[in-house]
Amino acid sequence: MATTKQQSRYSRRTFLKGAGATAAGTAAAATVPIAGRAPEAPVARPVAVRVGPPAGAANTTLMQVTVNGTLFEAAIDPRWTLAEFLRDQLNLTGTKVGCDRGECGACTVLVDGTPYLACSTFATEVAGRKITTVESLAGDGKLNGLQNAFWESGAVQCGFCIPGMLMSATALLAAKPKPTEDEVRTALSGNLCRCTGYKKIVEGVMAASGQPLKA
Amino acid sequence: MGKKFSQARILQMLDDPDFQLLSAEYPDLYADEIEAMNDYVRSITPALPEWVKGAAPKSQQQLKFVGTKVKRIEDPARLTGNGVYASDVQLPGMLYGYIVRSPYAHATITAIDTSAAEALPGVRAVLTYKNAPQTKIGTNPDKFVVNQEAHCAGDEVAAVAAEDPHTAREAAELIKITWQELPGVAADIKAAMAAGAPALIAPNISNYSAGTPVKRGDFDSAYGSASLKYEQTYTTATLQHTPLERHCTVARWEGPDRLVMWASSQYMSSVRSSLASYFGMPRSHVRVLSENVGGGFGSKGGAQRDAYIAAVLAQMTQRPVKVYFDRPGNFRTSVHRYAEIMSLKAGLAGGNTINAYRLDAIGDGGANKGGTSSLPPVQRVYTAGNAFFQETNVITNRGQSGPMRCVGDPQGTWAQEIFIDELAEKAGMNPLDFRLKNIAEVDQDHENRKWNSCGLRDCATKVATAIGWSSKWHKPAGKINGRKAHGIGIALHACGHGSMSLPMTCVVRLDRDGSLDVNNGLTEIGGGQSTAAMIIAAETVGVKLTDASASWNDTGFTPDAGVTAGSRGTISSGSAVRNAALDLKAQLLQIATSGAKPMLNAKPEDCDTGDGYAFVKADPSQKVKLADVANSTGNPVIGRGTHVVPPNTSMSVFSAGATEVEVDLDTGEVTILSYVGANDVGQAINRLGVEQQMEGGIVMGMGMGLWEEMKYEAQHNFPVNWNWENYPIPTTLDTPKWANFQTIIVEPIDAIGPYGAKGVGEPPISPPPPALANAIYNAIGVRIYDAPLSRDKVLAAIKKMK
Repeated sequence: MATTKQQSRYSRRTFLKGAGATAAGTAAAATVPIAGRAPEAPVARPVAVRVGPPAGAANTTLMQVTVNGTLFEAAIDPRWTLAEFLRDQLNLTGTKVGCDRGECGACTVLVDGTPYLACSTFATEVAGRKITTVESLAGDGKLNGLQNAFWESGAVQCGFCIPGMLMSATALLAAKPKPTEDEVRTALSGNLCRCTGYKKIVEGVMAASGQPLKA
Repeated sequence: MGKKFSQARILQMLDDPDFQLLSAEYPDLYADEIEAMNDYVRSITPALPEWVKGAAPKSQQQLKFVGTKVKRIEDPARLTGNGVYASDVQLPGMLYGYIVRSPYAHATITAIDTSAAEALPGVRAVLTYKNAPQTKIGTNPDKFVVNQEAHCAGDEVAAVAAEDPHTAREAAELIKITWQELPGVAADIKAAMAAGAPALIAPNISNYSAGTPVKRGDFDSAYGSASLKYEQTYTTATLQHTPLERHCTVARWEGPDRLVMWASSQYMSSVRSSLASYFGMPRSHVRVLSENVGGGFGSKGGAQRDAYIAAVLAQMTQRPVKVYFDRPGNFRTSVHRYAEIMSLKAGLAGGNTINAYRLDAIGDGGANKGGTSSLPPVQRVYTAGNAFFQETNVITNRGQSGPMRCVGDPQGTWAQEIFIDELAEKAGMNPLDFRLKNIAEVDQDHENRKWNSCGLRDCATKVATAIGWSSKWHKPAGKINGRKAHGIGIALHACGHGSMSLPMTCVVRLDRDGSLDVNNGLTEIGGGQSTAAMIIAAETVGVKLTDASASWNDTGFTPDAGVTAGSRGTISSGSAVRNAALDLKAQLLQIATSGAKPMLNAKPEDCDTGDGYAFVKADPSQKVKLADVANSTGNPVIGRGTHVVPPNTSMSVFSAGATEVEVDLDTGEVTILSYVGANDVGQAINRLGVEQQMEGGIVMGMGMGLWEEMKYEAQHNFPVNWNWENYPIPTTLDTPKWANFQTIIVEPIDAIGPYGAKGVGEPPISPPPPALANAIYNAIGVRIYDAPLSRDKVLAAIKKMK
């Protein structure tokens, strides 16, 4: 995989600095030796990045898929779910797996703009399509409006459901920029959260839509 | 009560993370042990100079950061997908583990054949009882990492490590096991107590044991002479925590005696000591990282089976191994909230005063010899001079019991608050007035000592006012519009969590650039514990919040600050943070005022700190940057602190909730129209964090009240619902609208916690279930005694309406 300046744009170290937040956790991040994250190439320059087992290995299928604006050519084990492909092959671990059977919504990603449960979608089903994950939301070292509204409202506790919540809410706001509270609740009803009781999550989506809720 | 312990035993308790965990979760069962530990630590901890303590702000008005709303430092990583949870860790050469579980509630393996699994390409290790290390893992009853005999459905009996998760799972299915089923009990927990019941975990262990009763006055004679008597039995179900991230550990050996683990745990220091002990290594040779944890709620207290299995498979293969439970595994084998059967009895004197009060409770300890307790709320909320409370623990094959948010107290509050509602009606009083008349505001089991702080009455009156109790309460079944019945209910709660807790240490460091770091050994599991620690430290040392931070994920540099459970983080570890910050401040003022050319020409006690400066109180223009003070030593300045509890302290936390519901008389569906919760938190540290804990706890309580229940079939004692489809937890569609869901923070400043804080994580969960039960009664005029208030029970109750 290519590693470029683009990648460092999304590292937490630079992100936190850019956001003007405290330096919390930067030392912590440096101590976690995970593999590097997937590159974020400019949309205008479609680069094919090869991932997966060597082409021609037994039981693999070749496919092309665009993830967060980067075109990948991937050798796919047909058993892989989309969540496994994103997490294990592209190291896009922002997409979480909570139940692995389409009940909790933690794995929600957008496929051509529509929310999909990545744990219950085979990777081969998304050939030729455009995938958007939580990693694409922040840009230029800043949280986007929805992320910032979640932060301000206190929508995050353990945070495991949050990527899925953000993706469901992103799809909603794209389709309906000024939703009602009921519409927000309906759009997020497939995303389970065990920490928050949902109040501050709903509050965050409404604030992001420019309709802050007031007591 | 009043047990004494040798110094050796006290030191052993202090050194045992498993015991720290137990005593944090069950403070009422271990009250004597906690007091002994606190007494000992107080006796050996050097006192801070009085002048430093005196320099602390005395009133809330003087506080700069404590009590404000602070955006959490934990969140940006979680919002961008950059935060790493144990289940996200990817290491070069990492293998994937998969666990084979018992299909029976109680059974033993008579033959096992692993040859086909071992022959599958990509399989690197197969672990069964035949090749497992013969070291016990500290469960009760004693078990190995995998076992031949299973004591609950889902018990771990084998594990596979393979190059990819699909191969691991395929190999697990190729292991051929011949089972002999043994007699078990799960569907009906009382069957375990019947004469002739089979021994369920070991022949030499009785299936049940009665706890020491709590007694006051003379219950029997007071009950005998009561003007009004009533008794009723209430039950609650077995529940699952269902954190979004299942149990997960990644283990990597970095040499024959160096182990690194990424653990989804509520207590990384306990994982470290348990695994060090298991492998016979010094604790310093095990490093545990828990940077982000996808929820716990009590289920991830110490080293669970995922940690042991990952470490053993990694040792067998000499490769890193990830073990991530699947969701059915998580439902079946991690600990459960125990079911309770609670019989209450009360005698009123003078028509409306509780004089005699008795609870006989049976708690399902499950497939371990663990303790259960539902007594604290029943001991604390209402005055009863003549009382008898006793809990009996039963062993069954339902799976391990254990702590889940507020442990046994929601069960006790479920029984008590429906019972009190019934008593109020029998006494001819409004349920709110009857409660306020009988409320207790002293520690009745310690000579009616005053609570260190008590906001119970405030909580009750504030929720009643906010929901409009006086205008909305009506006679049972008194407000039916067509086929919709309106009801309103209230419930109060007190418990031992978030109050008295164990001594713990902390390190706070001022770097040479004047920035402040808390090396917080408390595992952050979603409650914003690190932000709270940062706020306390910045407030105390006197630096800007933007110059402060906290580091929390790594046993490599943080001291053991105890488990994130029992609502103890803010008070116990938070106290240690404050004391460490005071120690740091004292050092800084000493440095600034000493030496050949002191930076400040004054005595340390005449100086103070604020906004990153040390200054002379009488002349604040005489000031020096804290960065210059630290830099003058050539080193960071490090403060250490320990949480010390004064002797003979009575602490408790209190909460209340009120709710309005609408019951559909055709479908039995219950809609929660509104909910108001109030919590006595002493002093909010991060107001945003307190609201988060209250909202989350209340909604989890709504789940316990209306929907959640593990169900067991009668023939094989097998749990039949092990996913969210069949074990529904609340969704966005089940909770009240934003404007109708209110939290009220009650702050009767407590003398012991940092800046007067008490804990808040657990108590909000307890009032919702009985408040909903009382509201449903108010709607339809028929009582339901067994939680959850599922639609079938509500429909059956509707059929009984007059």
